[in-house]
Amino acid sequence: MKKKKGAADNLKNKTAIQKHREWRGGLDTAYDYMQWCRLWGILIKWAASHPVQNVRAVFRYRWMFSYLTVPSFFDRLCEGQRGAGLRGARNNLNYLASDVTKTLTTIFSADMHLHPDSKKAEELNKRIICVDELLPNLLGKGFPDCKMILFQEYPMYLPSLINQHSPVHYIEQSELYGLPADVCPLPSFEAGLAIEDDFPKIGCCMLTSNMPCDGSIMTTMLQERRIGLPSQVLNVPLRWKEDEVQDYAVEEIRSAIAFLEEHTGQKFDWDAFKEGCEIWNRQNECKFEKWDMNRTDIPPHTGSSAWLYRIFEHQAVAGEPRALRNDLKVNRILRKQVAAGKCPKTIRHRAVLWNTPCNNYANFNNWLLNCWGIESVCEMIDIHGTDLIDTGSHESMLRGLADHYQTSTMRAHTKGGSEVMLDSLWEKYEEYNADMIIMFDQISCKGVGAINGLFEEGAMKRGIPMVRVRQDLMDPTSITRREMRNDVNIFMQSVMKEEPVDASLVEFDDDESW
Amino acid sequence: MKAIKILITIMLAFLAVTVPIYWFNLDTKLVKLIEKPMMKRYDSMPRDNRL
Repeated sequence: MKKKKGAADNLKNKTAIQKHREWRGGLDTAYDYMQWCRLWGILIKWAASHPVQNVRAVFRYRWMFSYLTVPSFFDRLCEGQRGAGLRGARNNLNYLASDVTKTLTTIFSADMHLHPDSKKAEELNKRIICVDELLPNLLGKGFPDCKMILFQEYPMYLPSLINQHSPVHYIEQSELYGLPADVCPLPSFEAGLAIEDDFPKIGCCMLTSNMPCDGSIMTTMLQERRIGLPSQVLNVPLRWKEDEVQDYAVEEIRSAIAFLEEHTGQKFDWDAFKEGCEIWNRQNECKFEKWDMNRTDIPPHTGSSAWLYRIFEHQAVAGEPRALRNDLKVNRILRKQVAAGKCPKTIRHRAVLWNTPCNNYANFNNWLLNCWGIESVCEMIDIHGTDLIDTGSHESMLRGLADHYQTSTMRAHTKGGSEVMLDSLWEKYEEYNADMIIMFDQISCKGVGAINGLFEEGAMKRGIPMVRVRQDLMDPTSITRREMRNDVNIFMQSVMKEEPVDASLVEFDDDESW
Repeated sequence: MKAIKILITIMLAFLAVTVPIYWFNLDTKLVKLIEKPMMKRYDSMPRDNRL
């Protein structure tokens, strides 16, 4: 009998590069092609805008190579998608590409590594504020004549998602330097960038923070030595559910504003900041609508492109009118499919995914759905910064911003007390009518690792099938994608006793894949 | 009329070039080809690791 061809049969061995792009039916394939053209239009426009500068950047920075693989990355994030899911994903991703390329242009135009002794670059740097990548840059809306750049986002965080091998060299450098090898790969990657002098040399000042954890605080000391900019820590309280810490949180923001005014020579613009907060509130409302749609039996917008876009939106483009326009457009597309009662995917399970996902397997959600029919209806990493900001007064806006920081990525659940990590999980399980939990076990994260037992006890007590998927955030050399898939395979075969939707995806070699 | 003919020709030429690149994933395959030499270049760059 002829073996049925599956998605993995279209992948080259080891590199997992598609032999040809996915056939999604006539209409969806044509749509995917048009969005691919749009992406290439964005990339060519960026390359052509400053060709010499951009080529020099690609040759100067190892992490820039990862950006050359973006079309392949977007393909992976859209694997198996049809209908509104495909359209939502492609629009979100192309918006990201558009914004990232604009920011890279600003970064490289100001980069003193690429333009030593350039007066033009020096002038540009006077208006660039660097912030730690986990500090959402909504505050930057109050400095409309300046550009607030998430410092590690472009050399570190995004490349770690796009290409699983991008952190490896830098992590090795930090370990060779003598730093502990059991630290989370995120700060190790940052430390390696500082050691290799592979951060762009930009900015007039830097806001660092205590986010998300001790590992990042450690690496900030190394980064400061390399970067050499005037810097100030913006401390974000850990016990963010307590009223007692809110005055402190607001004072930290006031102090940060004073620091930025001093170093940029610009006065904080409350009207511009208010406008940014109001746009962010509307962006949040769009997200709430997406979550409402995902609570239905026909969730239209789930998985990797959804949570990745949320993180980027929350951190980098909160308060951005173009981001809001993209959200409104995507929501129209999703609403149409839900209203028509369509669901062009095979869903056997509705899963809540909890704890931090794995950067070096950004499209894990796609594999879950395509291989086992497990739909990621709710993800912890997607849920942050959900409180609307009261723009009635300066004080209320500062309180809103303080809340925005305290409930940001990798803070909303991992700090604040056990109820936000533990109880919230069971609440979301009910809310989304889930039937299983996928628990990421980030082996280098001591914080969440301490309560693994509580998750297991809670799931057993409630009779909830829960599979633990081990991962090391952005180090593919300690736990590979194959090993992550195997954790799910063993569970689905031996506990759930199911056959896969696509047997070809159960076991395949993608160790050399980006 | 002539303008429409030119436009159609341009569009057909665009499709003739881009559709095979898209379908056969030639853009990704090209980037894969240059990966090794690029990594060699990065490895050979002098670095000052003193902090």
